[in-house]
Amino acid sequence: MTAEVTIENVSHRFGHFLALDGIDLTIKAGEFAVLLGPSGCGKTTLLSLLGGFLTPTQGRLLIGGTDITHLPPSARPTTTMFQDYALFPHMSLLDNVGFGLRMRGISRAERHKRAGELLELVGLPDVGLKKPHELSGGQRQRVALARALAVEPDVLLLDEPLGALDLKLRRQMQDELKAIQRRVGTTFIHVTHDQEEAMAIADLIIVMSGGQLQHVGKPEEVYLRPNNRFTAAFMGEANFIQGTVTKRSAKWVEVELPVGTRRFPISSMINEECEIGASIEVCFRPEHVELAAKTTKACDLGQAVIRDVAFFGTHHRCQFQIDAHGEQIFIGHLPQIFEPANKNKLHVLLNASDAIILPAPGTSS
Amino acid sequence: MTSLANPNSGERHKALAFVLPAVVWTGAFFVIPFAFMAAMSLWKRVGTKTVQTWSLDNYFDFFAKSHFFDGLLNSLEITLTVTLLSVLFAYPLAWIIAMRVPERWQRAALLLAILPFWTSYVVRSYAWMLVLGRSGIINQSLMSAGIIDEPLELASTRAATIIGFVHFFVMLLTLTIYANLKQLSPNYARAAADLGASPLRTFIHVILPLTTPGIMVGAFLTFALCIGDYITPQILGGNNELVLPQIIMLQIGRRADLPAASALAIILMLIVSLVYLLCARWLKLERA
Amino acid sequence: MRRRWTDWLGALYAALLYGFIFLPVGVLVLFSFQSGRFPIPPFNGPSLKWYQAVFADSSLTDALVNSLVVALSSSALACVLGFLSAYGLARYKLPAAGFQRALIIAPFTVSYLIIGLGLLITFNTFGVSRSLFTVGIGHVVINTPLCFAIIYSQIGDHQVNIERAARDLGASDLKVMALITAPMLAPAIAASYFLSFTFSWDEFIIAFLLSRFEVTLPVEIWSLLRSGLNPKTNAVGSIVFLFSVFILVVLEFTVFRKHKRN
Repeated sequence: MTAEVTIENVSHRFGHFLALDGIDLTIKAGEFAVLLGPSGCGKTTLLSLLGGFLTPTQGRLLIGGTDITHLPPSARPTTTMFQDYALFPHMSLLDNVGFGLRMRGISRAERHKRAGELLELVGLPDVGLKKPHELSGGQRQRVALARALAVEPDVLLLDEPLGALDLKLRRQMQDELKAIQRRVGTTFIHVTHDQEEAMAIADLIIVMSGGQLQHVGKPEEVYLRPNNRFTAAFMGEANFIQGTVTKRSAKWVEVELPVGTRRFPISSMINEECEIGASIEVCFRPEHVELAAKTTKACDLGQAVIRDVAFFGTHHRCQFQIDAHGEQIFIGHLPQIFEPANKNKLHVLLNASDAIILPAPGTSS
Repeated sequence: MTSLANPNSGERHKALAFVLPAVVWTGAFFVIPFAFMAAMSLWKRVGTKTVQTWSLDNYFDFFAKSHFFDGLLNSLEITLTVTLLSVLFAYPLAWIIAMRVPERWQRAALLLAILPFWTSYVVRSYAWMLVLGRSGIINQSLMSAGIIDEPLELASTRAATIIGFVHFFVMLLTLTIYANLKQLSPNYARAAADLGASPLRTFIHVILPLTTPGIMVGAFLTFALCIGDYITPQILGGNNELVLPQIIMLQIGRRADLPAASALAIILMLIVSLVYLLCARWLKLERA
Repeated sequence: MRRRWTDWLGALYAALLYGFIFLPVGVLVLFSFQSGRFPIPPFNGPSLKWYQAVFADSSLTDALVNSLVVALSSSALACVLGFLSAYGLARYKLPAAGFQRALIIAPFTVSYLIIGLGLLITFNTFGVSRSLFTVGIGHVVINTPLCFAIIYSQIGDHQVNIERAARDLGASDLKVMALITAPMLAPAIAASYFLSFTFSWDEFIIAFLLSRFEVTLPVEIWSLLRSGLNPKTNAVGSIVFLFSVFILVVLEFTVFRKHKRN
């Protein structure tokens, strides 16, 4: 069971606080979508609107083309997996998982059989007679998933379900969630503030901030070609270098940076309408910093001094200061085998096609 | 309490010094008096003297003398009625305050609901006399409305005792049930609704079982306080259907028969202990 | 639309129950301002003459002072006993800790009448004459478990490290208790003190059994009831009520407000 979710111009207010501001969004049937953003960005509000626990101040919600804006939770083809799991503590796991079926008037034998199958699906066979308090956090999370899936919803809503788990278990559950989603084919809408979790599980990432959509796209797009500075910074560590557009052709753009004038392919520009003279920011990730030019399109960042270095296992994380311009600092990852030291002076490069060019903050896009 | 153990004996002496004052006090003024009362219950009042003959006569009297045993039956009937009615009245109020009143007004609504708790206990029963008496508010209102011609006998009845008790214990139970409702995650109700339960079924299958501890704590307190109370039945109940505490007070006061009073008091305590054991699994003292 | 219908029903129910809860108190306070001789309708006031009568009645004012003295001192002692024992049982591993805890809590589960009767028999046996002092002893017995339970429930293991830190920095055991533990538990201690105070202040049966010539206010009011319905009783009752509410309001805006903020 699966269906497409459409959100049309939805806004929601709590008193004077505008929690959601004109959201338009379509999530395709069977997609694993992740609502990602810092706390207070509106992601949980959006999930509550879809679950029916809130009614939007404005706009429409459709599932499989049916308007569900004013339906109560019980009448919607959605189920929610709650952050605290909300397993009924006085019921056995079989009764918990079978609760939705019981409400639909399905016989005891039938619903226990079905509940048993679902517990097996989530990797918990033979525990059906236990009570929730006898389980570990990770196991409760699985039971909550089984309970939500038992009524075969078109859309499953997951409210930070992995938040209470420790890191290792969280990574493991991410894989399992994704595998289960593939198997049942239900549309999953998952809320989190952890961008690594989002990239690990999502088909579609919806980055939110201040009640608005910042960027909607596949994990690769959102990470490598973020629409704006917020998304770039939120998806992972990013460096920003201010500059001005000085020239442009059909294939390249020339930018005046503190380290000199550099050329970037025109595809680097996120907003291609940037005029000559416009203030921009060149944005690149630490792993794009290189010591030796691999391509001819390298952008030379000049001589840099290492101010601080730390070993991260997969790489060395270095803080660079560019010689001539004492205030300009950026982060770069140097290879595992390389042994950088403090105050080393290095010649640093950047593959120009890895960088992106964003309008400078404050300028309208 | 687990990892804090400090096995050396100096620490143990210090710990005893903390606990000892309360233990000694309780021993001297609770355990010893209780032992005296237990001993006294085995003695006998003969004429104007208390005779130290060890016998269970006072306990046999309880079953032999019908007015003693009737007192117990009256006590039980009244207490059970009061407990049941108080739960039934208090639950919806606690639910409305916890679920329907906006969050920032809840504390005020709750404080208001238990405000009359703070009137003097003696005065509260007296106040019901003003309401229920022959020339009280209710009779006067009904008569001036022309519904009745003669004042109703509302005061000095078992009903008056029950009204007085229910008034007090509704406030107590509202408090315990409200506290229980508030500590439930709102997601329980949401999850039930989400899985297709109607409001009624959500209540029956989820909310009610989860608030059983709050109900039981309040109900036990109601039972224990109600069955041991002298004031309310003495002021509101008249003198025709005595309850156990009234009979105990009669033995102490009018007849100066402390042995009989002691035996009755111990029977009263046994009943409360029995009910405590029945409810024990819901009544736990827990540390934050 | 069904939602609105049930909401109305709920509001009606709440209004009726609030009415029931406030009816006797309302009548009590209203007719304390009666100017006639009986606190029954019709109301012909307002008049303060019954309040004057209360303050002119020395047995009532004496009883009020007696009640204050007994309540203030017995709850202070109950609080100290409760705090010390709660601290000892929560922080140290003691032999038979469960038994000691049960013993301290025990008076809480026994009806006041039984505690009063036991003390009466004991005092008779040892020839101790009944007085405000014996009433105070009884009130400490009933309030110590209360103070213990409230304070014990608030001593969390999470505060242990704060105490350890103080010890680590050189504070003696007494200093830790005075400067760290007691201030951290101040809301619980204050709450248990005020609760004990109101319990003692309002307690009737123990005070009735254990006092003789000097009595507390509830016992004095009890003997006032023999004169039947009397606006003077309304006036005393209203004073007691307003006094309790005053304490409650002070508590609400000081101790509990602070506690919540933490």
